Amino acid sequence: MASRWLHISRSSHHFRIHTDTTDFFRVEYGDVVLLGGRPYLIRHNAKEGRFGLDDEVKFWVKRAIDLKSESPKIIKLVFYEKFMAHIGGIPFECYRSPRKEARILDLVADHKNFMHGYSIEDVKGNLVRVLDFIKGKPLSHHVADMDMDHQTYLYDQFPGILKHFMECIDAVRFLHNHGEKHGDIRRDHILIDRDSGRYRWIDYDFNYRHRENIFGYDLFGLGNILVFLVGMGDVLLDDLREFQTLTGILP
Amino acid sequence: MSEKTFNKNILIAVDDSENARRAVSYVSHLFAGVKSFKILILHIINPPEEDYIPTSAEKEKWLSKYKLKVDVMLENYRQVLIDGGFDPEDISVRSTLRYCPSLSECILVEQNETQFSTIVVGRQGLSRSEEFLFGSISSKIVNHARNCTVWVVE
Repeated sequence: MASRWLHISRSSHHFRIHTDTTDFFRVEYGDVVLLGGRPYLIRHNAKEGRFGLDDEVKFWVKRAIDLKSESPKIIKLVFYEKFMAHIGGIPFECYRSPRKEARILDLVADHKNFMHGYSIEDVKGNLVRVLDFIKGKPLSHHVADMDMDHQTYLYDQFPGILKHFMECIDAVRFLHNHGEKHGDIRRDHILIDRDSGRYRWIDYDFNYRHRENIFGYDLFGLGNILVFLVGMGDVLLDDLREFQTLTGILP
Repeated sequence: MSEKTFNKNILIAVDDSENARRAVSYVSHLFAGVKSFKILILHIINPPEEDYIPTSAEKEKWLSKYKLKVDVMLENYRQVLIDGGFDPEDISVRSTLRYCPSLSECILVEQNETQFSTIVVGRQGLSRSEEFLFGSISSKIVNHARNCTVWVVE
């Protein structure tokens, strides 16, 4: 069942089968994770990179194959972390919650602008999330890869992008109306689905300790993406100074 | 046209911050020796979201530890008022457990239930950007309070 997915050099591979995923470091390439009797062949650890940093390996997030349906999946194992984040020197606490992501997956199961999947407990009660793999690149890459001047972008590309992004804003409103935060709104957390062309939010396990404005940080994230889209990338102070020097116009 | 009536009941919403202490001290100084005012010192216990504390056992542990801390805090505030000249019989304390996406809303619900005519809170002293991003409890109370007076103590 699984050997056809492995490299030929591993044809005599002995499969390790995991029903307990507590130690996610032990779940490696070529292993099988059994969830509710359904086997998933583990391929690679997922990576995430941003702000010019090398892609960081997320050992608790695995690329996998559902061996029954033969469809690609992302499997997120349970990983808790808490840390302090800052915006402009303002500290706030962030944390991961598998339970939150599981809840949102149920909530958005029929919503076209979200990643889909389901959650299931392994034999030790770890809440594992099995996500449908979305073929397509992040919105951030889509914009960064455009090879044109800003004016052309603004007139030719931006209206279409904005239309799609408005759907994403509406999708966040859907979450908020149900009392949920996205929690980690970033330009690379929208994937452009190659099949449908839709923009789809991913990654809901992050959360932040809100204060009086429960959705304040989500809204900040949306504004941040909007600025990025309008500017066709990050608009830095140096860029504005250079613009002023060249044109004499105060941006 | 009938004139609106106000009772002499004052609700002081507190937490363990310095601004809350200032609010209590303010009331204590302002009304030192004045009779007939009733004071309620209120603390809303707003437990972390269930996602933050993964198990109910951990949540119970958090709650029992927190309640002990709150009891001490409220007694300290009560003592500030007594030291200021209030009759102990005119002071009541209350801590109540509520799930509060917005603390200001919970405080206003309490005010509405008790029908105290005055709410006193301390100002957190947030920067503009902090208030814009994360919100201010006192600003929201001022904006949303109805049928009562709000004092924000600097």
